[in-house]
Amino acid sequence: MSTTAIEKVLIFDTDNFYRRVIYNLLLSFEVPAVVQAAEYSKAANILKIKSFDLIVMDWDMDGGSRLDLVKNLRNGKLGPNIWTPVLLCSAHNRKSRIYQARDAGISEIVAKPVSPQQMLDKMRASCFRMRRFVRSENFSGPDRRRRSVAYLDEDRRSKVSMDQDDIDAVMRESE
Amino acid sequence: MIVNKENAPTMSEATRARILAKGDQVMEEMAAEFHRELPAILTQLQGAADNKDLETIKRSAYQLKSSASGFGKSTLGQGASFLHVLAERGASKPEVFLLAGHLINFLKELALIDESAGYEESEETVSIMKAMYHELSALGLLD
Repeated sequence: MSTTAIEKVLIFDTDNFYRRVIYNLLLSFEVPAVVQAAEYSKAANILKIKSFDLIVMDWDMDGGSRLDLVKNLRNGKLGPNIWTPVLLCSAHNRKSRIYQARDAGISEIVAKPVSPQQMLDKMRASCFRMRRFVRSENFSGPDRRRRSVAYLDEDRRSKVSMDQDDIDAVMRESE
Repeated sequence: MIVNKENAPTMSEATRARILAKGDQVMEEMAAEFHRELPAILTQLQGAADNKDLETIKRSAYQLKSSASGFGKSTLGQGASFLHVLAERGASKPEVFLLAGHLINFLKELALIDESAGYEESEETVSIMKAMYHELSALGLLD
């Protein structure tokens, strides 16, 4: 077993430089197999034939492909990775975006600027603290139902832009 | 195998510290590379604006917004994000290159700011950001 116990990761990011940042970071974590895709079509083709332990993608995609990948993944249109955790790196964390990402089937979100510690923790949370998966007519992905209305306090609910703690609260509302 | 909290593989503190140290080194190296390349990106943006080359502005602004945000230059990243929106959606607007020129000059100033711990946006920066937001909103370019 590898150091992080995460063996195969796909990075999907249309920005060459930041994709290389994440790639080098994963290599420093001793992840044995890291595959990169810069375009939606390439990522989709890879996912149709290879299974991964984790997919890391960026919110800021060029070309409007943002959450299409994860929606298609969860709907079973992209082969064997229907349950694969997806970790989203995001710089502009408007509340609406966080809910949109969660509702598309994203597993965890890490706010930029990403530190190695945050990245490692979120990778392991994505893979080893997985929320229960739900499959229904309207939604496939990690459970997004709320356990309790008290989980997110009013201050957090009313925020327009969210920090990492707020994001974590939204993503783990269902636990 | 479904792995969950109960049977998640553990990682020793020593291993965690070792790979995080390697990760810190990678991030330092990549941040240094970003800062080395930043002047060239800004020069490329200026050249593209001078040549009315919207496609290059869009590409470079996209690269800048992603990388700047990734290395803690969030104000620069937000400014680059405005420029990217302008280049992506504003092609039909007559004022697109005038606004792009203003934004690029603003980005050059933002690039000089150290946004590390304790940084707070100046009133001038906030007011320019707001003005840009309103300009783009008025042109119908924002969601």
